[in-house]
Amino acid sequence: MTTGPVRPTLEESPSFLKAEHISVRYGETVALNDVTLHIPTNRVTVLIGPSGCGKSTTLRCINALVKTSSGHIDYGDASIQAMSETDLRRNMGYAIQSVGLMPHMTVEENVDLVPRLLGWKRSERTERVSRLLKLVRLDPQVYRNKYPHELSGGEAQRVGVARALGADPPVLLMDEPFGAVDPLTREQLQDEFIRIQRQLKKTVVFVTHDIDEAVRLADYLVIMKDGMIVQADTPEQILAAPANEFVERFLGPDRSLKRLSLFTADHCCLEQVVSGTGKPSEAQLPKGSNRCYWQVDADGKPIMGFTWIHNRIIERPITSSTHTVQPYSSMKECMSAILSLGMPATAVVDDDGRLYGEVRFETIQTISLS
Amino acid sequence: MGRYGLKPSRQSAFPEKPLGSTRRDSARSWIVLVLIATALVLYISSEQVQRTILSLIFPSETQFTHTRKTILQMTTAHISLTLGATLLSAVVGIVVGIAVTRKAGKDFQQLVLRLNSFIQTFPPSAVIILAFPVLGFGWKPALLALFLYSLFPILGNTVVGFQSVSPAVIDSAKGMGMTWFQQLWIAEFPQALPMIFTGIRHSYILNLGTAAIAAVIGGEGLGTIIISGLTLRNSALVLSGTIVISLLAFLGEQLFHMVSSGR
Repeated sequence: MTTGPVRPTLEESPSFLKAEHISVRYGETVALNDVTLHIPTNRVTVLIGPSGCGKSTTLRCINALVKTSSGHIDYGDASIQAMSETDLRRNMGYAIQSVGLMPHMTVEENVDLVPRLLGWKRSERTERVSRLLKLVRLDPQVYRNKYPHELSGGEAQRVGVARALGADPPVLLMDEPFGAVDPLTREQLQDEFIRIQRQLKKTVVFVTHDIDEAVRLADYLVIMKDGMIVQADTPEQILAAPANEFVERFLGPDRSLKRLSLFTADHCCLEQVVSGTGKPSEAQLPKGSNRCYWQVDADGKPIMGFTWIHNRIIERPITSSTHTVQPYSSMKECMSAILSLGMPATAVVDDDGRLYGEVRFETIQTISLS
Repeated sequence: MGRYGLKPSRQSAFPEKPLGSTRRDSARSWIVLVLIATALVLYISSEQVQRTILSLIFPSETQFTHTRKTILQMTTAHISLTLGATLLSAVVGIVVGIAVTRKAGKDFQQLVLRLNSFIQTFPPSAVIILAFPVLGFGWKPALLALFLYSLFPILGNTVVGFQSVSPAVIDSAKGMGMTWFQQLWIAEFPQALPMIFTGIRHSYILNLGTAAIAAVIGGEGLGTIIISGLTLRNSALVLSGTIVISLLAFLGEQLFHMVSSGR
């Protein structure tokens, strides 16, 4: 079992992508004003702020879609101004809110675009497309030959992400990629994104205006306003110590609850749980114990929770998916499951719904105080 | 076994297009095409056929053919003029259309679109007759007049076609590192193509009709027989030219339809 902040610290990821004192001016208007930003390698950097704060402009400066008026951006040892724009962009995956799939091409052809531009071999590319579609959880058999107009918003967005990952670029630029889908789909896509990022460890720059999304996904959170950076730090630090009133207001009044979205269930999940197929015996759940006992069915799925409250043993049937959580669920969801189940803990189940462990309220409390 | 052993066939990949009906539609299209073409060839190649058909409709007429030229000669001239002008306008229209939808040429886009709507208000006969004092007599001025008149439907449609490409598609094409040309050829052109194609089709039909009027200024097409018919008050001659022009229009429409629906 591990508790406490489990996100990787930023010290161990020196930056190879650095914006130094960049400004962008359109005539009289200043879109970006002297922004210096070092993007931590293999981590997710989230740029957030109200509309017109310059977050998208910053992102588009990185792949030279917007030209900087002053300052420079370094990619490795070279300045991006010195590199060929096409080479630079082919090294950076790009996903946007409106997806921008080519409407006259199938899903396969869309995902295949950058590898094709780079001149990969055909056999390699077919293989790659299948792998990528599986990675974003779309069945290649079903989706390979569909056209974009046959996809739902969420599916199109998945294809967009697969396309951005097409040629396995070290850097991924995402401009509100989940902004145009419904909240439920957005949450699913965020889950998938976390899973994929843990697997691939790309250097991601992610723009959003949704603070919950930002807190959930960010290793490094950059809050911007009026073309300047107001505060840039780990989300833990920013939630614990907002730099000023603007940041505080931007984070909202439920900061402590938001902090819980920083942790996922598997990081504070107890795997040694007491369970059985029958009712708990005295030894399994001693009188007055504040522990839980989970009754499971023949498949190992939890169906009932037992615990002692006020000298009485209580039983809570697990009937809805909101009563349990999965390893990738956030601590906020754990908290909600604990409340809806009315037990001092909630059961963690794996992909097949089998009991995997439990998350206790006291653990959550320890974390939120740390 | 089929599920794991064999690669799915290409046809099963498009469940939204039922195979049977596509094949049936395709066969029907080919039959219509062959019928029109046969009718056309029969009519223009044999004076006997012309005489038989025309005498059925105008039994009182005695003259059914032009005195100096055969229908075949006039048809060849008419097709050359029409196709030449359409091809010329297609090349120039698409090139200019692409140019004014690029960043560097955007300033001229409004001008082109306005000019387009302005030219459209001219009746075809006016174009030919106005062209005469400036361009003179013969097939060259006729071609030039036809070209100028049919340029704008193609140009206008090219501009509209490229304008209809969503900005998100262009943004993502740029963002994935397409060069200027790849962006045009891979991302934009295929999406603008249906509009451009409609423009070319429109131009072809327009030219087919206008080329008849071009006979007035020495274009040697089917207008020659129609105009002599009008001068001699011989409706059979007028009809003869009209029959061929109509068949050419049907043939063109059918071909365009088959190409654009991919059959």
